Amino acid sequence: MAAERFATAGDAFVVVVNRSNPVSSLTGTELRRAVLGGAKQWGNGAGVQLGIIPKDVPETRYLASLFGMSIPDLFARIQAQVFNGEMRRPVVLRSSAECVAFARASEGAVCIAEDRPPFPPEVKLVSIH
Amino acid sequence: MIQPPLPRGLRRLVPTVSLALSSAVAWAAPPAAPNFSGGSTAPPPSPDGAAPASLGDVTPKGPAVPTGPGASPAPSPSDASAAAPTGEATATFPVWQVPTFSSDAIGALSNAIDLTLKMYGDTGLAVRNNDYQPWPTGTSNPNVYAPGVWNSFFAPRLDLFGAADVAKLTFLTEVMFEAENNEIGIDVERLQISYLFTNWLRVRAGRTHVAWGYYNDTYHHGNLFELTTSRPYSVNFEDSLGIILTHNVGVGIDGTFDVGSTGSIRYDAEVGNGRAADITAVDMQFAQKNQKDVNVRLRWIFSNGLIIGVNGLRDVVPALGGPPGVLTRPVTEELIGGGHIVYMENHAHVDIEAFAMRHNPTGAPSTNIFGGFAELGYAVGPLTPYVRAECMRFPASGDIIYQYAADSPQGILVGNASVYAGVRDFSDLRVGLKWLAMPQLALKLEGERLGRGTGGPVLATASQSQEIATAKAAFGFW
Repeated sequence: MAAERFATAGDAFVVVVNRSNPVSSLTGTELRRAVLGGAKQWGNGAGVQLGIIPKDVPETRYLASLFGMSIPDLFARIQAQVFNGEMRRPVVLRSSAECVAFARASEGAVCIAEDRPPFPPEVKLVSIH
Repeated sequence: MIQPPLPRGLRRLVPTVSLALSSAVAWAAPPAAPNFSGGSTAPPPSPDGAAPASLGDVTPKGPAVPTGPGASPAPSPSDASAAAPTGEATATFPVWQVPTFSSDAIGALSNAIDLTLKMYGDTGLAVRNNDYQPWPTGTSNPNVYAPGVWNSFFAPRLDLFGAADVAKLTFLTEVMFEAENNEIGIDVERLQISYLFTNWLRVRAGRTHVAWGYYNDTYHHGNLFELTTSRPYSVNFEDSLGIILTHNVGVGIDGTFDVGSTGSIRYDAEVGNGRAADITAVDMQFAQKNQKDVNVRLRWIFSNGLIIGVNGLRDVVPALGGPPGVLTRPVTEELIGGGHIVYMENHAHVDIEAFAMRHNPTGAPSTNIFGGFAELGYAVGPLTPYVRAECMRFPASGDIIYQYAADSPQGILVGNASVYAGVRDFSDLRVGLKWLAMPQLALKLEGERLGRGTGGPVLATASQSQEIATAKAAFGFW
């Protein structure tokens, strides 16, 4: 059984969440709210937990670009939100493979991975529009 | 367990703190080796269904654990990607390895409590022109307020920020080592525990920043995140001439409601000890009154990032007596209303806030204070030029709480008159440049003119003033 797939065809990267997450598509604004602490809980009751590669890598550039931000701006915003108590400290990842593994294991996970199928059935790819 | 290198100077900390720091510094220096094993089955979720992952999860914690009979040794993540099979029947995927107490007690503890410790501070140089600022202060640092032009390097703050999560329970604290009159004092500035029930209900308790306007609880003691070199006077801290209550010791709830494509509504409601009789202090253990302050904030957060909010706060400032012969300051009801408009998207930085405050002292006439500030900036790459103008208008008759004289009970307590004493209009204008050289370091260059006037248009009639030029490096490591 392959991962439930909703990502827009042609994207080089995908937004990955746990399969138990009821979300199948998000607007850019909704994703931003989830990633930057505006929304703290998914529909399945799990707390939102961002996983991110804290470097200037394609996955992180893609995430920043979704919000119209530079990577330093994104990191500064995340740091400020953690300092504010508005979001949990992100989980540090180092690769797309770690993102997939993280999303398999954590019900609240959200992270960016390269669009390289197949993905395990325990994760879901969320389309962004 | 291989620990990532700790910042210099932290290696001698006790093991418990060292553990926390190993997670904290992983942002800056992630360990080299991954923590994966091959397998096709995800590890079981934690019993409470919460995310088991934390920074500790990516720290190597010994040999990978095969997931089944005959399982091969764990491949690296790159191996897993490269060897990704094409058929479902033979698919193997990387597994998020959560250490167990039997295999790695310290790693498991790190995962369980998800503890982090961050450090913030700032240092710099300030040049002050005091020729036109004769107002009295209680500082023992003579070059700050003595006539003439004076300069001083400064490194007055170390802010330790700790945070931990267990499922939906969150703890955070800020412990400040802060110079006052050239001596370091220690304050627990924030001590907050919160539980998230759902997006529309989070309960928090402890010592928090009052949910007032935007600035007060967006920016805390780490100056790195602020655009300017210091806070607006109206929302400055209690011991730094602040007007609006900054800290609250009590309980509060907050939450967010989606309102479709237009955005969301955020509410905050708080009850706490409120102002102490000494308005420069915070009642942390024994409140000096039974009446509590009540604060409510309501915000509309539009999907384009625009925030429009309003506040209402009621508090009672206890009476404050002095030595024999000094008139006691009466119990005073404090009512504050405020509004804020904020936009922090598309490289813009706009924070406009205003307030109206009414004091109803027992047995004395009521008075009003009006004030506000506008902080504007625009980021061009890592550079953000900015300007902030702030003004406050005090009652002609003087305010009984914040315009205390040196011989009043509050003045005697703190050793000097209020910086606002005898002032009708108080103004502060700043122009500066913030350079976010890296997420951990902001360099700021700022010019400031602080004015005290006796009436008429703000700024134009400031009869007393102080000009300050500041170069500051604000930093935070996590």
